Amino acid sequence: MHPIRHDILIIGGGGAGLRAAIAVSQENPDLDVAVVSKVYPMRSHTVAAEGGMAAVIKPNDSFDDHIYDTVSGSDWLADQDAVEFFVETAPSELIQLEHWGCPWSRDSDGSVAVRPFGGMKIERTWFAADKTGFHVLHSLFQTTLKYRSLQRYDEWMALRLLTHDGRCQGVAAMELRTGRIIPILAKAVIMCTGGGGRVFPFTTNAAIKTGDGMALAYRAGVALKDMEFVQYHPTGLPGTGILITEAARGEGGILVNNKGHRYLSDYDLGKPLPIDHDDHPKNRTMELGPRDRLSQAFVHEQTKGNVFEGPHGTYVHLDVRHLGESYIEKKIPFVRELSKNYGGVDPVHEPIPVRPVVHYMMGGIDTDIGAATTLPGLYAAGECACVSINGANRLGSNSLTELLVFGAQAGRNAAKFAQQHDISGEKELLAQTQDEIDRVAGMLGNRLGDERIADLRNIMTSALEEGAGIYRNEEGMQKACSTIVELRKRSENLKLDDTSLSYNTELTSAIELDFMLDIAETVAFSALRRKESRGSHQRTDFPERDDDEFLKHSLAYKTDDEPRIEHKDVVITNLPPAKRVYGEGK
Amino acid sequence: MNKSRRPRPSHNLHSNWWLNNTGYRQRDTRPRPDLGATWWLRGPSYFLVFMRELTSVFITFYLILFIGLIAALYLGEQTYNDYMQLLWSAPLVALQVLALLFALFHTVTWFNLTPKAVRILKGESPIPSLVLVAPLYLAWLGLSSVVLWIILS
Amino acid sequence: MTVDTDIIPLRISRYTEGQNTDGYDEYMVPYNEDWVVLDALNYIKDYVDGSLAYRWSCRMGVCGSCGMMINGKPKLTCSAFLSEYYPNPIVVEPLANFRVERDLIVDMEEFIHKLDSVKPWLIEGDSVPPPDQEYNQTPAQLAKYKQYSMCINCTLCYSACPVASNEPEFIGPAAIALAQRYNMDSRDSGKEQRLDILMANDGVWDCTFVGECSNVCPKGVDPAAAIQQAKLDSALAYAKSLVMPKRAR
Repeated sequence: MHPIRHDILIIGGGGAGLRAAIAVSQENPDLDVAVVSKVYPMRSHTVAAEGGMAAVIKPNDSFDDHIYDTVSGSDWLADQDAVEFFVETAPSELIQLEHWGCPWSRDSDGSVAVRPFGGMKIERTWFAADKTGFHVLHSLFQTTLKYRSLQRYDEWMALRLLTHDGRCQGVAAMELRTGRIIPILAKAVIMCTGGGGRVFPFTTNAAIKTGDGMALAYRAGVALKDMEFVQYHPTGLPGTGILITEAARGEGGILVNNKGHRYLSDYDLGKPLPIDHDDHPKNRTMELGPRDRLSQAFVHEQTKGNVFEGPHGTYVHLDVRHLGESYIEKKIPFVRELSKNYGGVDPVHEPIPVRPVVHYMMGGIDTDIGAATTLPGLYAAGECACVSINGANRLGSNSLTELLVFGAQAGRNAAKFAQQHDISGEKELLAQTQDEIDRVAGMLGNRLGDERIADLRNIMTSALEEGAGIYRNEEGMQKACSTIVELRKRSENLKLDDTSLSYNTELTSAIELDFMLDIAETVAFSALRRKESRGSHQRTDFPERDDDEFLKHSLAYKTDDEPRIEHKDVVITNLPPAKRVYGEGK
Repeated sequence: MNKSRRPRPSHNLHSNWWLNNTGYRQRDTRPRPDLGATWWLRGPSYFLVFMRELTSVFITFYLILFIGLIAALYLGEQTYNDYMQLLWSAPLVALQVLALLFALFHTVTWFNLTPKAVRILKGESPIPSLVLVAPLYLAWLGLSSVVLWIILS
Repeated sequence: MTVDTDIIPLRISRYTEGQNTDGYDEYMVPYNEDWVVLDALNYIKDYVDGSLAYRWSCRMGVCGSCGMMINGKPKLTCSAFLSEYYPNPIVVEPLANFRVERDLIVDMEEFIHKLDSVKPWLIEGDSVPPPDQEYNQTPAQLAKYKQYSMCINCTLCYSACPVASNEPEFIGPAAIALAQRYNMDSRDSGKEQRLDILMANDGVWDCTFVGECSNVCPKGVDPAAAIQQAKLDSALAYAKSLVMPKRAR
């Protein structure tokens, strides 16, 4: 077995991974960096983000405002020192991206334009029409092509972290083209593999969002933090779950129920302004409230029978007709395209059917402000990490910024670490790779298996939707936990139709199912242990926020049995815990 | 580790793309599936493009006839009259009409494609195609009228 | 699945290197009005034949993974609705003009190399703004290149192009459109360098303006227009170089 060696290894080629790669090269051009990705980088899910990227840039804005919006949006679970660093670093990162060619939409004077977004008091969301993620990812990817020392391993899937001497020293990865599993050794590893929305049945997330990196770190002994906080985006298309960006509401779109009533006014989100009013949409009010509250409002409306019934479930209407065709084509053309292709309506003439859909995981690999994990040599950034700046609920357009800020942090700090360490214990690392080869060979060679991947996956996703959805209770969560435990046992009996080695996508699906079960168990068990309601974790049996007991992060550790859940304090600096208030123009 | 290197294509001056090729390349036993020699039969848009390219054959054909005409003129009245009789024979008239139709087709398609090659923006939108295409048609009609007037007078 | 369910047949090209699986397999898929071809492929993989291999990810037409030939035309399977074909059978094959790796998966390496070869990044000139300030770019300046920045690298254009079919080294529509995206960006200063590459062998002059690339492009990039404009730009640059001496690089 011939290992590959690099100084820095980045797993994941999306926004965070590519930014980290550039940051390493900038920190020390002599370091040899590799990016491993199970898909070509331009397929990474960053590409699907639509609305925008937040940073303080206009004169009427301030760091304090952005910090307050983010911390209150997080229901005070965000670590305030991290939020301060994030907010203060954001503008320079976004301007750097602009210097690298990102085609931000502009005001008529040529400066970068910003739009209103949910939960933000002042407009600070930079955007590129409504395909911001696409432009960000392609700008980053094309910029990395400038760095000729960066080596990419496209369509290589990371299977297992290699550790020795208390440090992370590489990964065992499968080259999808040939099926070979090869150890890639490195002095520092950065995990940028994204979230795990695919553990839910109805999600905006792409097929590749199976929580691979989170599971890898989890298996290597790193805690997964705040996994119970799963964001439901209020406006996804019924059936497919395709995202209709918050920007549609930022530009003035309204949500109405089956009685034509702007129902958010009944849920403590302020008074609706008429749609032709100059100040509509009002920030931090009504449709520009935080995502968790909007999704929760939908559930209540559903209980009251105020929602439409359709072939793909219940929905409400997102109405943008009043914006007019030319405005829609200019500001939210992708929304129009998606609604026509997948929603069956032209939003210029009809309202768009929408319902809440799983979108983002606030939780992830436990990291600090430097993007370091508790395992020396392992760093993490992006959705797969939890610093935490998003706490119990993320504000829209903060996550794209997070990719840049913490991707760069991870790159810089991994570079510094790599300069001071060398790869050690190669024999051990190769032995771990051999273990992985044997394990995978076992999966391929299991002639006696009788379970289909899709069946187990469907049971897992249904269990999570039932037990860990927008509103949760003890019984539901217990049931989800026990279902997952049972699925683990059943997953040892998977039958694979595909026995070849070249591009065996059934094998990769089976490996992804394995990762997803890890993620699912951390979500369910962390949720069970949090006996309060905060942000996107709402319990009907504990409906109030409990700062005395639970102003803490959950930490899920892997054991041979069910995960061990611990808690650690949230960092509070300048904003003592207070009530989240929306709708009073505050 | 085996790094197989493929020869770099001529336009590649800086790329290190072969570094991504991190292992042996299994032998390519299948031919690369391409559109084949009958690509122009794959659909109406392909067919029309093929016809457009075919117009060059007919224009060349007419050019040869025309050069023949000038040569015949040079070689004397008898040759010229014989040649004109040839040109007026039924099959050659048919071919010349065909050549005219192809030439018209050629002109119309290329004029209409001009906005693709010449993109001028007024503010944020492209100027209307008509602004680019109309002068071409007008110039064509103008020149053709002049030529026709010379021939007929 | 009851007898009453409407069925639509799918004929899918299969290939595994080293195994004797070259040919087409036929699958009966339940017809659903809302489904796209990708849904049908997922149904087959989940419940009928797990060995069917293909690429997909976002299922909303923005990642560019799922390009395949559907009834002989290159399309994104996430955007091709079954209802357009029902009740006729659908033939699914890997993208033309690419080497097939496995079933519906083609070799993308050559394409990545072509993309890379046109220097598709912002080449800074003499007037870079300070790190705390963005370049000034008016909406009109943005509009000049915006269309060409919309390419999702799905390579349907390469499958539609007869030149790419006959001449595998042609750098192709997407690469040229991307080069033009940067050439026309007011912040970029690399036009001369890129035009050198575009004018070279296998560059824009291989194109005979068939225009099919633009017809199949799912994002309206219009690469054919980009190529013709690049031809014009390079012709002008060449003429200029004859009249005026080249600046020292």
